[in-house]
Amino acid sequence: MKIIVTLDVMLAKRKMKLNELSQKVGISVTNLSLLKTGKARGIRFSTLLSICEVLDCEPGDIIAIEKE
Amino acid sequence: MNIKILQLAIPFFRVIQVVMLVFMAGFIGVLVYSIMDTEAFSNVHLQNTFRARFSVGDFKICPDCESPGSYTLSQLSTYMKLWLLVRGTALMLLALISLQVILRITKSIRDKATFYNRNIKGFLQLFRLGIAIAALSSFNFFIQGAESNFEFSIPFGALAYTLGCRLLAEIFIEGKMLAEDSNSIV
Repeated sequence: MKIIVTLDVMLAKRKMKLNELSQKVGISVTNLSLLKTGKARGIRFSTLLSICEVLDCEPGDIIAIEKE
Repeated sequence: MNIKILQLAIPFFRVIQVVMLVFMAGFIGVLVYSIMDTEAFSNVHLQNTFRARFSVGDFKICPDCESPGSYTLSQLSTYMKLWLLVRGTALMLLALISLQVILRITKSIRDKATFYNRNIKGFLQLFRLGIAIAALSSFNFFIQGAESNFEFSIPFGALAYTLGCRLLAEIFIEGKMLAEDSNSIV
């Protein structure tokens, strides 16, 4: 099992680009890109909260567990 | 981080480097000259020169004094002078290279590039240099005519320094991992 980030799905649902999310959340596109591609090792609660506020979603909407 | 102490340390290390370079040049010059002209420096008395420790001994300029158990530079055989030259130069060179590495690490920490690969390599280099210093300062010998002496001692100071460098390398490896972890958390 592993944790996957489904930020791209949520962005598509909200019809929002990564650049726009970056501006609204105040996190660099590079870091958001790392998060989106699953290269980040972790996510801070504050980052998660900001993303959820902007995308109007729950943490579970952008983070999921993938069963192998 | 206390930057002031680092800013003070850098010129301090540079001064030590210059002093060591001057001393090394003088040391090599005096010994090479005394090898070429065997009668030269008859007033330079050597004290503790053939002791097994991280030192080249004391060179005491004393025209008329007769210290028991000490030799003047002109009394030494060419082979002993060569040994003195090789050992002393090697020890000073190792110390100078170590100081250069310490200076590089200090500058890197001052520039907030602390847990970087080059610093880890620097501490590992200091560890290897420390082993060489400890090995070289653990023994010494003296052969002059019928008199001969071989001295061996465990250089605790050099070994503690070497171990400290290895521990610092491990600490910096751990620090690098933690920094990488911290940087990869969004």
